[in-house]
Amino acid sequence: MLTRRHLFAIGAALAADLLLSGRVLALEDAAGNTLNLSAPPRRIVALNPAMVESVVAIGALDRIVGIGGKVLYPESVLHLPSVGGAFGFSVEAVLALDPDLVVMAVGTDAAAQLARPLSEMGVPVFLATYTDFASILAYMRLLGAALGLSDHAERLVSSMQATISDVAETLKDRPRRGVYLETGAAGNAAFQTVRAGHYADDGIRLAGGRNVFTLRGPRQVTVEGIAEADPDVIVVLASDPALTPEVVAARSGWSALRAVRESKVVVLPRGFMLIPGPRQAEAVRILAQAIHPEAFAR
Amino acid sequence: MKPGALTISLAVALALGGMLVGAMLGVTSTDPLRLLSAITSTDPSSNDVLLAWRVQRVVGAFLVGACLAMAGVIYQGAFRNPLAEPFLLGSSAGGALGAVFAILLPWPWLSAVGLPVMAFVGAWGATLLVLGISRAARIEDAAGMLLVGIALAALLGALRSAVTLVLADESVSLRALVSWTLGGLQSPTGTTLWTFAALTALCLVASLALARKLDILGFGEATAATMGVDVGRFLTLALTVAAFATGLAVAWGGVLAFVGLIVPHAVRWWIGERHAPLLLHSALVGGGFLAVFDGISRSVLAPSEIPLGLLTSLIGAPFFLFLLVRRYR
Repeated sequence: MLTRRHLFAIGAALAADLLLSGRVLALEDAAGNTLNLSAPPRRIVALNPAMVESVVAIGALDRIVGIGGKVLYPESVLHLPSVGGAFGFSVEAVLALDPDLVVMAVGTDAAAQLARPLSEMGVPVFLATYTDFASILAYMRLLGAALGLSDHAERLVSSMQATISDVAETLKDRPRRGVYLETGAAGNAAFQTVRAGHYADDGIRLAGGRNVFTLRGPRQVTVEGIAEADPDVIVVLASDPALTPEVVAARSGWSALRAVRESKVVVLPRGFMLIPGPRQAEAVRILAQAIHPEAFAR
Repeated sequence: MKPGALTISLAVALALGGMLVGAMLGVTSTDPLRLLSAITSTDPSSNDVLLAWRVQRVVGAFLVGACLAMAGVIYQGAFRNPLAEPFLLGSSAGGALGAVFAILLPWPWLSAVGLPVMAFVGAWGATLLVLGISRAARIEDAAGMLLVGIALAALLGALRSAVTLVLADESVSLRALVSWTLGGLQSPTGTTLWTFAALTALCLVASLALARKLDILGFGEATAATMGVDVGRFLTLALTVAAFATGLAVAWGGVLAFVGLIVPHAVRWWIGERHAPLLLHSALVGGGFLAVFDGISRSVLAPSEIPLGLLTSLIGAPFFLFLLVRRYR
């Protein structure tokens, strides 16, 4: 079976081979399926939050006719019909919208349930693949090409890169700080983090930090492991409003962490920070402010 | 071997030894002397705080293991079935449902109540519900209760899946939730740990009070009835106690498969069927067993932590098979 890494390799290689032959745009998506579009799609169904945000950011909001059930942003799409999500996706609901392009991300429930049946029925499917930060930009360019809006996509990517450059400029000459990024926990246990190759790991680097964990194995760590890695800053991604830095600091054993004693604990909204879409550049800026608050103080 | 002073000493040694090994293992291994100074240290900036944390976590693991082993003994005795385990009457499904709510719903009051309480309420509540339904329907035999338990567990499991599917999105970590269902020791400290220890001791006392009737029940429900045991009432009482112990274990340890099955069996093969010594030995051995495994889970791939339940099953199951094969040969 192909892993995500393989899929991305295929996607990246073929992105370079985009060919416009006559009026037919033939581009191969990340899964290696050829996408034949005789005209830019006009009726788009976008399933994952990142995909919806990307289509909107590329400038095709008015072409979206359906979204996945878990999409909460932007507000401008929330009135659109949902094709399922919580309990699985409905092929029929998608077909009923008569789409000429369905956009989804590899490795998601949507892709697992819809990609094959839809493409077998001749509905063009765009499968985005991403692992690291660069691959997010790459799929956006590819999506732009599929929508016939390459220049829009290029502008979006440029503006994201400009945000990243701004951050880099602000942080110029500042030493990198060790960061423990927590992406989940079960009460006072099962602390989850990200490892090298994940876009959030790139995010830490772009935000002037250094992920203190570059694990190859499991992504779950203990407080002892965190203490050993000795991060300068602890960034907890959570959606629970009750999970404040004070609550994090009060976890058992955490008082031994230097970052906790120095009050370098920040809690950021998980949904915003981890959606692999056009808001990732802004996420990097927010992360940079958390890691280097004094650099952004005016 | 007949249970007696020797076997009790051995079980205590296993318990203490298990805890010691567990406490020595970690991101950095340590020696008993440093552990001792760590427990007495109060300086929050010192690394000894972490050692103290580790010691408390090991005690937590011990208590979870002891609760699961006791619950396993009672379940197996009450149902007179060697395959009975602590999660038989919906505890794991109920506990997991409570945990799903605690982890996935960003409600402040839920956070205030906390994951352990929600998990405990779910785990104990599920079994109390099974017992309540059985009572209301005048189901007094073990097989009937078992069916009620299976049905309720299926219902709660489906509810958990539904709630997970509906609530899970980018704002929550499903990975953390999955990890919890594979065992997630909550590292209780301070008052919490003392409360946990006191409740575990209470479970042991209550279990020992059940032991004689569990022995009698071993002759069969009809025989037990002629010997003056009100089987229906006794089953309800015994299972309430066992479910309480299971609830404690789920609250502080997540859903740890297999411990409550393997430990009572190993101990039974060691010291025999009588329930009073079986409960005591199982609690000690189960606690020591889990303390060691928790140490392994924290140290073998450090700084990564392997979900404890993965280890107990990965290593416990082959070990159990080994004992089983040897016994049947």
